[in-house]
Amino acid sequence: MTSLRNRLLLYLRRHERVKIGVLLAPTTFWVVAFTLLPILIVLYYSFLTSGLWGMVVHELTLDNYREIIDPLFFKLFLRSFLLAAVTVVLCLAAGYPLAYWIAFYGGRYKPFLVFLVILPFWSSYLVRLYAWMTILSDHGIINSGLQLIGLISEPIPLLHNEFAVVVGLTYTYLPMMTLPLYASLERLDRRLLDAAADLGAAPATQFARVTLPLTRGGIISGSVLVFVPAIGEFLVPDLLGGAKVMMIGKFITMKFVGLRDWPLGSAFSLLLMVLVLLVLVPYLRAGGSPKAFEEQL
Amino acid sequence: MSATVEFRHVTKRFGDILALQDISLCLENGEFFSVIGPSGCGKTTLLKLIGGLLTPDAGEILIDGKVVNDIPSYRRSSNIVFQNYALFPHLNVFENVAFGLRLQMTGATASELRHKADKALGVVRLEDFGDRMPGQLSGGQQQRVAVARALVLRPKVIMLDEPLAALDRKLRKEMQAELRRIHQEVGITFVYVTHDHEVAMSMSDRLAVMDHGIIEQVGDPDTIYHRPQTRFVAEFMGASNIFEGEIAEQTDGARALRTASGLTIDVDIDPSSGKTMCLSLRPELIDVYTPDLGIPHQNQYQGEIVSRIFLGNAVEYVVRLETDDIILSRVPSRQLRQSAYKPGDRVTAGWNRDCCNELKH
Amino acid sequence: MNRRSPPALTIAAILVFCFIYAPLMVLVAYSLNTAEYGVGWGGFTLEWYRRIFEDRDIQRSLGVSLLVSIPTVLVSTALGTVNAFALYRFQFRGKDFYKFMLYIPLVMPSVVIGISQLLLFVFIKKELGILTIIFAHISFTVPLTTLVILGRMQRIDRTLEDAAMDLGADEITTVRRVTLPLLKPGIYAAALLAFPWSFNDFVITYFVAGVGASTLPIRVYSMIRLGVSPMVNALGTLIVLIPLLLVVAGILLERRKI
Repeated sequence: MTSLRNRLLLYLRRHERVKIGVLLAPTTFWVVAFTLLPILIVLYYSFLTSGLWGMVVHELTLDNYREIIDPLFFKLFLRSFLLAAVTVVLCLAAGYPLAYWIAFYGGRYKPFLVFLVILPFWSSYLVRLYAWMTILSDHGIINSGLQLIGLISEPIPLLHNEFAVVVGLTYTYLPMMTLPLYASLERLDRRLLDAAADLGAAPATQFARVTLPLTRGGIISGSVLVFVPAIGEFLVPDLLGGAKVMMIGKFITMKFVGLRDWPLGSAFSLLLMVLVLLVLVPYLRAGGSPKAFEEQL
Repeated sequence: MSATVEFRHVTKRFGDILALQDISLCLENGEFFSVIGPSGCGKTTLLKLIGGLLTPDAGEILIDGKVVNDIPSYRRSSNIVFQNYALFPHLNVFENVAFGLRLQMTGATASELRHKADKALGVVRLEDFGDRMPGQLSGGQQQRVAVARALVLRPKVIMLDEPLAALDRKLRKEMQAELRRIHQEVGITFVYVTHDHEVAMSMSDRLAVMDHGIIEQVGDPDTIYHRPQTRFVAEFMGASNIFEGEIAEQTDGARALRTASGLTIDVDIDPSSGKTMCLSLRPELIDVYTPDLGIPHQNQYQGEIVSRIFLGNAVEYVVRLETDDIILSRVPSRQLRQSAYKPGDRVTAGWNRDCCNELKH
Repeated sequence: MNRRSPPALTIAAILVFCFIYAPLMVLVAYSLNTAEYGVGWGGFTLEWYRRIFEDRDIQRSLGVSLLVSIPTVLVSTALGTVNAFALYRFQFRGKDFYKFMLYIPLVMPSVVIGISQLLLFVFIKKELGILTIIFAHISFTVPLTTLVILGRMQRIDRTLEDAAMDLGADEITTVRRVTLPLLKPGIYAAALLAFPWSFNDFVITYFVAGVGASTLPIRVYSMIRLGVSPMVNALGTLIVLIPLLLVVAGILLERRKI
C-alpha cells in the first residue's frame, strides 16, 4: 500500500501534466458537457425547422435567422438595449454617491456598509421583485399612501410599464455597479486629491479632473456587469412589465416555454449571446473581473 | 571530517535563466557554512536544491555520501528554516515542532513526542510556549520555533535562509549569538544564506561567495576578507580599491605595478603569470595624513580630500591622487575631531606593500 | 474620517440604502399584517406563517429544493476546491482561455444558460426532473466556488507547503495536513455562498425542471402568477431571511484571518 502510494507520487512528480489533467478533469468535463456543448446544441437548433404544436423538424433551414431580421424584432432588441442602458445610467447615478460616501466617509464601518450593499443580492430576487410588485401596485403602499394624503384621487399606474421594469432592473443590479465603483474609489490615493487642492483645484474640479478619471475602471466594470445581465433579463419584465413591456429574455422564454418554438427561440438566444460576448470579450481581455464582489469576500 | 553535503557539477535553470552554473562544493560535517552574495545570485536556489524543493538539471547532489537527486524533500535528512519562518498558522507551537516528528516516528507514543519536542523547545529557550499560536509570538520567538522545528528532527544539515532579515537590529545581534550557541550545542552542519557579509563572517567556519550562479570563492572568513581572489569578492567584501596595470621590476629587485594612469605601486607578491596584474586594497589599510608627518610607508602618494564620511568608529575619506586615481581610505576615529580633514585638504595617502592582495581576474 | 461628508451626499447615500432595503421591509411588514393591501395596519398576525406550515405543496417544494441544493453544494464545492487548486498551483497553456470558459456560466444571461441546458437534456433524451436541475445547478455554481476558493488560496503562503514537505510530509500528507486546513474557511464560505445561489435560482430551474419537480422558487412564481396572496409575503420573508443567515455565516468565516 505504502509503496503503491510512493510509486504514484513519484510518477506524478515526474509528469506534472498528468497531475494538472487529473485535477482539472472533473470540472472541465462539467463545463464542457453542461455549458459549451449545450451552446453548440443551441446553434444546431437555431437552424432547424419548427413544426406544428411545438414539434421540431430536423431539417436544416435559415428561416429562423430570416425571421429575426424583421424590423419588429429589431425594435425588440433596440428596446431591450435602451432599457438596459437606462438601467446602467440609473445604477451609476445611485451607485456612485453611495460608493463614494462609503469609501470616503465610511470610516471603520466600511466593511459593514459594503456588506449591506451585497447582502440582498444573496437572497431570492424573485421574492424581492414580488415585493416591488406589491409596492408599485394600484393598492400598493405608494398609491394608497398618496391617496391617503389626498395628493391623488385615482391610483397612478406604476406597475406593468417601462417605469416598473427600469425600477426593477436598477434595484436588481445596483450591487453589481456599486461594488466595482467602491473598489476603485477605495484604491484612489487620497493624497492625489490633497495635491489637486494644493495646486488650486476647487472640490468640483478635483472630482472632475482627478476622482472621475481615476475611477474610470470601476465605472466601466460596473457598467458591463449591469448591462450584460440586464439586457437578457427575463424575470423583471415578466413580473413588473406585465403584458406591455417586452424584452429579449422574456421573448425567448415565451417562445420556449409557452409557444415551444424552439428553433426560433434558439436563434434569438444565440443572437443575444453574441451581443453579450461583443461586450464581454473585450472587457475580460482587458483584465475585467467577471464578478462584482469577488474581491469583497 | 567527512562531507555532509556535496555538489558535483550542479546546474539549475529556470527557463532561460541559468540560476546555478556547474557548482561543485563540499560541506564538512558539523561546520557552520555561509553562502553569501547579492540577491538573485543563486544562493537560495542552492539551498532549495539541498533541501530537495528543487531538482538539479545536471550534476549530482550528495548527502552523507549518497546521491539524493531523485529523493524527494520529505525523505531527505535536511531541514530548512525559512526566511519568513513558514510556521503553520493553524497549529500551536508544540504542534509545529511535532509536525515532522509525527511523520518521522510513526508509532511513537504521545509522551515520547512531547519529550522530544519539549527538548527542542528547550534548546531555543521556549519551553513554556508550546500552547501559543504562532500569531501570538514576536518575530524573534517565531524564528526560534522555526529553528526548533528543524532541530527536533536531528537532520544531517540545517539550512537557514536569511533568517535574521525580518528582525530589528538589536534582536538580530541576539539571534546571531543564539544561533551560534545552538550550532555548537547540537553539532549539526548549518548552511546559512545571507546577503550580509558581516553577519556571515562573524558566525561562519567557512563561507562561499556567489554571483550570477557561480561560486566565486570558498574559504574561511579571514581568507575571504583579506585574500579575495576575484574582483567581485573583493568588492562584495568591501575592499573597494582596485588597481590594474602592468608588472614592473623596481631597481631594488622588488616588484611593482604600474597603472595606465601612471601610478606605481610597490607590492610584495610574486605575480602568478603574465605581464598584467590586478590588485585589491582594503580601505582600512590606507592611512591618510598631512604631508609633513613623514610616516615611512613604502607607497606614498600626494592627493586631495574629495569627501569625508563620518561612520562613528571610523572616518572614510575619498582621496583624489595626483594621477587622478580615486581611492577610499578608512581611518579609525579615536578622539573628537582628531585627524578631521576637510574636502580640499592636501594629504598624503600611504600603505605598505604587503597590504596589497592579488586578484585572479 | 478627517473630513465630514457633505449633507447632500449623506442624504443621497441613505436614500439609496432605503431603496435597497425598502422591499424587504415591506415584505416583512405585510407578512405580519392582517391587512392585505395598502398602508393600513390591520393588526398583527402569524396567520400567514401558520398557513405556510400547513401547506403540503410548499412542504413538497421545499423538499425538492433541498434535494437539489444540498448535492449541488457538496459537488460544486468539491469540484471548486480541486479546480482552484489546479488553477492556482500550475501554469499551463490555455489557462486564460480555460478561465474564460469557466466564467461563461457566471456572466451569460440566465435565460441563455437555461435554454442551452434544456436543449442538452432534450438532445440526450434525459427526462427532466430533479437530476437535471442538479446538473444545471452544479454547472453554474462551480465557477462561483472555484473563484471563492481560489481567492482564499491566493492568500496562503506557498512556503508553508514547502515547509511541510521539508519536514517530511509527502504531497498527499501536505495537502491533508496543511493545505486543506488552511483552506477550510474558504471552502466553507464557498459552500455557504453557493447554497443560496442554488436554492434561490429561478430562471435556469424554470427551463430544466420539467413538470413534476418544482422547487420553492418555482412554487413561489406560480403563486405570484395565480394572484397576490399574503401567504407569499410570509413565505418570501422566510426564503429571504434563512439563506441570508447562511450567507452572513459564510462571510464571517471567510473574513476570519488566516
